[in-house]
Amino acid sequence: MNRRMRLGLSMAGAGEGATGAALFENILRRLQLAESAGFDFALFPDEAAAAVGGAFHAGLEPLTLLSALAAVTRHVGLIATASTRLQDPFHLARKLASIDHLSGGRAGWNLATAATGGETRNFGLPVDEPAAALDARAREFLSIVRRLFVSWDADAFPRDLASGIYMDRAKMHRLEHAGAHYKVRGPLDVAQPPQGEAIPVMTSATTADAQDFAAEFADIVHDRPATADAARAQYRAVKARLSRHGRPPESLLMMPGVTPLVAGTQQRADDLRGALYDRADPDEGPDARGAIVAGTPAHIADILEGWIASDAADGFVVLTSGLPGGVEDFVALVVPELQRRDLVGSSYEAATLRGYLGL
Amino acid sequence: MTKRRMRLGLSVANFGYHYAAWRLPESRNEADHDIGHHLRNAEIAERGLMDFLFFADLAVVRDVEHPTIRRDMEQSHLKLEPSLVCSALAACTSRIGLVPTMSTTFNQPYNLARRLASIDHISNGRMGWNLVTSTDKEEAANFGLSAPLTSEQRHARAREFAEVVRGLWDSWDDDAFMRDKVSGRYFDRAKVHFLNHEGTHFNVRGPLDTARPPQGQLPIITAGASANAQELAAEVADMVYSAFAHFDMAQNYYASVKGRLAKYGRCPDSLRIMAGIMPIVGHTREEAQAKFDRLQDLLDPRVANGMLLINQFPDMSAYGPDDKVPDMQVMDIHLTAARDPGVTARLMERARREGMTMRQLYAAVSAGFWHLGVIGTPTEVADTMQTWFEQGAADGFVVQPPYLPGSAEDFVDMVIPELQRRGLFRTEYEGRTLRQNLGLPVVPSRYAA
Repeated sequence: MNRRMRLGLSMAGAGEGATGAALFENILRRLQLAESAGFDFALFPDEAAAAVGGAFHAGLEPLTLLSALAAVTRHVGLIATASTRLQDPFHLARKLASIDHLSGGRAGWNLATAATGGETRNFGLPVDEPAAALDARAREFLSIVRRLFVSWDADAFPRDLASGIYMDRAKMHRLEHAGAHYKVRGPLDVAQPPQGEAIPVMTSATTADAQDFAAEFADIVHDRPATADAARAQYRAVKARLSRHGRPPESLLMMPGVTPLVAGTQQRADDLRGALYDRADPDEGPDARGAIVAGTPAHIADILEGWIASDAADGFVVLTSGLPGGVEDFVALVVPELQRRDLVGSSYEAATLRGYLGL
Repeated sequence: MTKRRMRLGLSVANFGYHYAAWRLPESRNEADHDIGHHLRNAEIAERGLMDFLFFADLAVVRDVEHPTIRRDMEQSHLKLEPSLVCSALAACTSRIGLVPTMSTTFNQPYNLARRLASIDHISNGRMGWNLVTSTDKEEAANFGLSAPLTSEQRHARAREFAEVVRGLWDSWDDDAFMRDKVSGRYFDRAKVHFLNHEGTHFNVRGPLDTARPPQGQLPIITAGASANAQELAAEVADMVYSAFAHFDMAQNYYASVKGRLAKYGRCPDSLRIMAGIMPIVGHTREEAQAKFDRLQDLLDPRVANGMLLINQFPDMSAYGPDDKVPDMQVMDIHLTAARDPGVTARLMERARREGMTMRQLYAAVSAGFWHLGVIGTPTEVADTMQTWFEQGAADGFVVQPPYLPGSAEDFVDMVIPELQRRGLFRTEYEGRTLRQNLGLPVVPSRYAA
């Protein structure tokens, strides 16, 4: 059997062009597309600031959005971005645990450690904090959140009508955390989430420090290397670090972003690639699109399969281009090809996001 | 001029407000983590044309190791985070307003503004905000504080917080997003507004990364009997959740809050005072009483003793249900701030005067106590509500159902039709948004010409 390719769909720009309930419905449509194609998860990026210098469109706060989407979908995993610099650990733990309950175990957390320039100005924070300080804060934050998730054993609530015992205090674990950045007493006021302590955590890992962090804590690494070689180098660097933490290689999934441009002919696909370069936003970073994979469905499947076979990726987060031949065509044409090759499944075969990801 | 109408909210605390609600055989076993339970309550409230669903919240499990307060025998300490419950309900309902509790002490205004604006978009304008300043010591310990802030500190922060949130909601004019494919202009820069707030507690540049919410400004509800709390209500709130068991006290409070509005240039009608009410309704008074008695029979004396302690009664756990209420002093420690300790003292005095048993005291506290408790027929409940409404004690009510969904259904099916017959309550929703249904005026953007 082939190694399974994991697939996520980026929700960047979803809902564009609307406000009110229409905005939500546009986002839901994109998500339903992902669910219909059996994507493991949808990824909701975030910046708590409006980039008014660029092509900004107003969106919705990801954790809030996830809860609404959880109520109207059944399978697809839901990964929200939240920064440990902007959030409070108790709040974030109860939100993620709540979404995990609401979704029946489909919640994930894309952990960002920094605040962007715009975010620092909206939250009254210092700019240019050293990476080491942000890293230390993130470690403490994550450790608090994970321990809060298991404040209550899974069987802590007998809710026994006869004896009148609702909760078993012996199965409660108070946190009593006092560290460099946070003091949190606990316990969490939410029962243990369906995925327990192990709600999947995604991070970026481009620097050596971030790779150390990812190797210690993350379940998924998502960045946007522009070439297969760059992806392979990152893949090796992160996976090599896992053994230091007693983790096997398959316990962490490398899922780079790729921008597909699907067309009936290679010529047409190359034209689309040209169009994509032409409309590149000058403010856009060099890694905004990851690798651009342009071609016929079979050609794109070859490329993706090649990345998996050559240890450049364990799966992909599919990015949107705003051009024809994007996500809709990827779902309609490339996913069936990947299914024929037995690289991706055709239905959801597990109950939780962790299960989909084989973690 | 149209007739003044009552506004009605439904407060949904997991299983309901009675301490023994979860022990009713018909209660859903996992109501505290089941969105289906919340959705059922929302559908009942929507069927009754109620204005909003209200979610109280404390981000804490309190007194969990206390020897006398048996939290392990109580419901409602574990819950789903309320703003997320509202977001999920927004996606599954169409008319009912949704009001979660969010603290100005433990949040940042930018994040809170975007969360509420987001749900207002998802719900197409049905969100409100129960603004609390958080007085609980144990909750504070979950956010790194060794003690709650003082009343002055909390209210100063809340005032600035609300100002920032409201400013952020006006970041984008309603027509800021032109999305003109021909010119390539996505939004009009002249219609984006930086807040550039620099204050005592917050520095926030803005603009918000969410478009102006459909309601423009979301209705804000506050509570609290202290002078600071009343002042905050008069300054920023659209509704106040009041908590009085007795008509004269409710009337005094009503006059006191409304009397503060003029100094903020507001008319008395711009702030709705919503009294908490716990109705237990039956077709006959006997039937209503039987519903209450059924709950009381399930109230374990150990839970009842904890309930008394929480409500500032002395520790009477040495006395059994059939013992007379002993002659003891009311505690001077205020487990719950901003409540009048005289209420407890008066009930102790009455208990001694009337020779009440402990069991009778449990019932007196369970039946309402801090809020208006009414056990009776739809006519009797409506009579009380009408009196409060017409004689300056309330503009509306937040119904605190003793058990869910049963007693919410009773209220919707029996009391609301009676209120409608009397012309006191709507027979159809007036508008699409919570603001419209509450009869609150449209608030133009502060930047509107």
